[in-house]
Amino acid sequence: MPKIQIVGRSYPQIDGMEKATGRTRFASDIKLAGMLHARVLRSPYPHARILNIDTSRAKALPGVKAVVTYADTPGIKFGPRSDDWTIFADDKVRFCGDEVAAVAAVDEDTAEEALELIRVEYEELPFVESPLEALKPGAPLVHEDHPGNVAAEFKVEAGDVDRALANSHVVCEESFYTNQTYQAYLEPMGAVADVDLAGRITLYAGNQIPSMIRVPYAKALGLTLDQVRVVLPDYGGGFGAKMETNTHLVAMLLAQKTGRPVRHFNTRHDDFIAGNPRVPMYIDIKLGADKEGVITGKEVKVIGDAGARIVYSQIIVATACYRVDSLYRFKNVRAKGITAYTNTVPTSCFRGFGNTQATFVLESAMDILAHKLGMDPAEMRVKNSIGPDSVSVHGWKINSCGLKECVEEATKMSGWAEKKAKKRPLKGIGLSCCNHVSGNRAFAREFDGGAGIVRIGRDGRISVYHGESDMGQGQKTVYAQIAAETLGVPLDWVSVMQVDTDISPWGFGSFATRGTLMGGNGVLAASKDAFIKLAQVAADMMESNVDDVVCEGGRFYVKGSPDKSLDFKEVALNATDSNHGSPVMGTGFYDPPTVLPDPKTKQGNISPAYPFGCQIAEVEVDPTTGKVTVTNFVAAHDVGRAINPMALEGQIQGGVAQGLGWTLMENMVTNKGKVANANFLDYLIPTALDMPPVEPKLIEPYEPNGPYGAKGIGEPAINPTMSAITNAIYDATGVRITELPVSPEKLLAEMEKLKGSHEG
Amino acid sequence: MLLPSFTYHRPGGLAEALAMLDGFGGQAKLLAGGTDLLVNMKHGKQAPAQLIDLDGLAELKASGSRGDALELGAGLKAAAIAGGLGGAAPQALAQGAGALGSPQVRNRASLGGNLVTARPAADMCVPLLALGARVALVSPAGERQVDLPEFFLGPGLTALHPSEVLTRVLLAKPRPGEGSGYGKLGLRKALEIPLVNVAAWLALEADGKTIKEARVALGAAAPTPMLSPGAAKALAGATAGDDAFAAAAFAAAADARPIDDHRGSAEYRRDMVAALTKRCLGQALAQARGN
Repeated sequence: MPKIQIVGRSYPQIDGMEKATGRTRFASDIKLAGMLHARVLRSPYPHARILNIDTSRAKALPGVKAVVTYADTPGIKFGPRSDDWTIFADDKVRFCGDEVAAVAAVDEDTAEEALELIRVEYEELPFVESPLEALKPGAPLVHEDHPGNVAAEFKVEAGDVDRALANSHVVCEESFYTNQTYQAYLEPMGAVADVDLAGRITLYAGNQIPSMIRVPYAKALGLTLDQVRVVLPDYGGGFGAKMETNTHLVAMLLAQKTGRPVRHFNTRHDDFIAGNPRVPMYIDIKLGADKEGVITGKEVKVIGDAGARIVYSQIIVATACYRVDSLYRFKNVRAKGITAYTNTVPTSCFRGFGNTQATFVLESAMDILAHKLGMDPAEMRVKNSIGPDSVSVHGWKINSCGLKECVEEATKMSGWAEKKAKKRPLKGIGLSCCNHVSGNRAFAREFDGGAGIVRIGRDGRISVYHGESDMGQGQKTVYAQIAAETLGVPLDWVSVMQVDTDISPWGFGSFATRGTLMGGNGVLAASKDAFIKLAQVAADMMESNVDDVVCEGGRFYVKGSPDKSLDFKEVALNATDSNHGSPVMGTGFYDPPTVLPDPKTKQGNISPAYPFGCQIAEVEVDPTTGKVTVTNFVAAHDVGRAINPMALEGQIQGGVAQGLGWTLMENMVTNKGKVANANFLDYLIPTALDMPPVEPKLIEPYEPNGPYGAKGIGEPAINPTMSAITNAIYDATGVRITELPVSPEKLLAEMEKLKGSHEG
Repeated sequence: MLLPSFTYHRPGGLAEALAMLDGFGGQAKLLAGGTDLLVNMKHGKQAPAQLIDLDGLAELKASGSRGDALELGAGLKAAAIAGGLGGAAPQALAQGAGALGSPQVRNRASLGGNLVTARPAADMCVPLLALGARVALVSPAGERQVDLPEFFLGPGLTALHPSEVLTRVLLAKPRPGEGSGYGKLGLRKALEIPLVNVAAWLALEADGKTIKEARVALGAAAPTPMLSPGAAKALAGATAGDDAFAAAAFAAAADARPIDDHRGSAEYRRDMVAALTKRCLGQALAQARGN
């Protein structure tokens, strides 16, 4: 076999130049002939009964083509994983921002003007904005058919937790809170919908699940699956948020009503108040260890805030209950999760999917135990680290695992040992580890995997079709590298095609850090299939056996005789001509060795591979203001074999930036049921000036289930960041952070308290 | 969230601008950088029917000295002031202009715009107060000059009449033995409305130790940027140094009347007024001593 030449090398993203020069047409750039523009009227109240809606004046405004409310919908309840959605509010609104009505007009100005002409009579109802309040007896009910506002419950138990904790040398018992944050992608959610004469809808929408999204949308509109086609343009980021949204359905419904293409994008304000921000969680943990620092048992209780309807919050809470249990060699674990409805914006996926929240909690607790034991926190991690070729407490099969190497490299790079030994006032260093999945069988349900189609044209051009979603993370480049490597051609001979559900394979999409492994394996299988087909033609042309034919740098040759070679394009031409125009088509799929977890015990391997990581933060704390500055950051990640190291490093740096923002400034504030800071002036994310140098390190054990040995990086890049920083703050000040974010005011108050207790 | 419709005017000179303003009789707004006005219009907080763009008027962009006074054109961009105006800009003002928004915002935002918008924590208003600046307000009837403490009347409210244009900012030219400094506390390093901001100015006696006169200005501590009379009193005649600065910081915190909001409590803001006052006075002293 020729040596690997394209996989493992750093390439700028294949669409990077187009994006950098402004040539990329993003979802919001799409303009169709005759297109109308939509705006949504949203509820100003967190909870109110709708007594009457009068749209007559809006309908009479010149330029308005349609005004719709719940009465104009099929009235079918739906939802990605629930049936608590309607396209517009039915009898009552359940959060500030809930969809009440929408307008399609000839331009955005007219649509916005029309909104002001819609008269809605409301009867305000008592509301609940905290999940703790929502679960109390007598709390206002968000959904009458969900008594106690309990949206979902999750339980998992393995081993004997009570005995393990009772027999522990040290136990950490602590309560944590992780707040609501916004994904802050560059392009707000939105879509253009177009309907043909047969009533078939084409939806041009930037979203992470182009195939799956069709299922609830078809149901909501009373259509069959084949009547909803999704085309995936380039789009400006997702970070988990861009899944199902009523924002798309509004465009679809208005396109049906008017027979014209309809464009509907959220304003940034609407995206803040009615997007899918992170699930806030209250997490109580009990974590025990023996004298040597070996973990004995863990118990957690999680209460998560679903907001006013379920997007994916209940699976996110379940994930927070148990995914992190495969980071260490746990034997005794118990968790209970409750997802509660509140009259606030529905919450959902955000990079990390509950494992971020749980990692913050577990890795804070590990730090607490290490200090109680007088043990080096790094040593304690290594001591408990799950190893390669092992099975975790929930039956997860860990093949490759570079966790120990991550800790070793990160500590070496950061000068951990020296810095821990030499205590400097108000300066601190903190460490945190993480694990994650590369695909989540519990989420994909019917089946999991990935598929690809590789087409080789008469001109030798290679087109790769997949069903996942590149939101800027570099998936197209990774797929092009895999196809080019497998076919033995230069990278720029490969095009990665836009996902179009009429053409592309069914893919579950980009979430759960699954794109590289699942989609990559699908592209790999299709590339192998195409290669064999083309190699057969080359073998015939060279009067050789197909098994002896290889391709390298775009030239076929028989093993051992690279001097006598055939141009790949000549072979492609020959292949198409002899098939009277039919291109070489390779198809293939990947069937991961995973199972749906047992509903009762939750036992069962949910992912074909598990990435790991270790991050170390250094901070300085201003004793006068309480302000934290992160001065240095190293991030070592087990990514399996790297396919594109440059893209991986970018993902790691981006994850750290997002985690730093969460830790130090990002916070959606709800006041009297309304998001009080629904704009980028008041909702702060870090700027380039706020970022320390972030030094990534790739740890590359070969993952047998990954394409060319690769695993994923998307979510692990952020999972450990929060606790690395807060553990460093503890090292600098002695203050244990149990709530995010860490405002200077809060930290200063804790530092003062600590000073008082030392002096007193 | 869309810009409401308006008629756009681009006068060729100040006289023409004043005539237009007069002619529209309160229906017009003056547009300079637009970094506040256009944002407010998008949010529906303002909806003027006429916009008169002053950005092209060269006469508003001049800066120079007249005797002991420094005159800064109201059309000067924050970016130019942050660059120091060839060494003419007092330190606290250059720091304040440099802390405003981001490079893009500083390239648009004007000195006059920052003053007439009159936000309680505006990055150029607070240093100008400490520097003892006054503003020139011109109308068809002539020019009047107003000291800044009398100019700021409330959040977004100033002494500017609807027929007037703020044309120049006047302040004393920095002299040896004087110094100033600016400090801002926020959660991030750019594009940030301060939680608290403070500017300080002081002049030393010939002995290089005794404070002849000082001013401390506070932002986000009241409905308008404000001077701290207590700090000025604590500093005048005192020996420059930690003790005097601590007394001034204490007095400034006592004068501050901050509010509670989701960004911070009044109590924390008050403490931070004290902390920043000390820092700014330290910077001012270092400059006064030529360090």
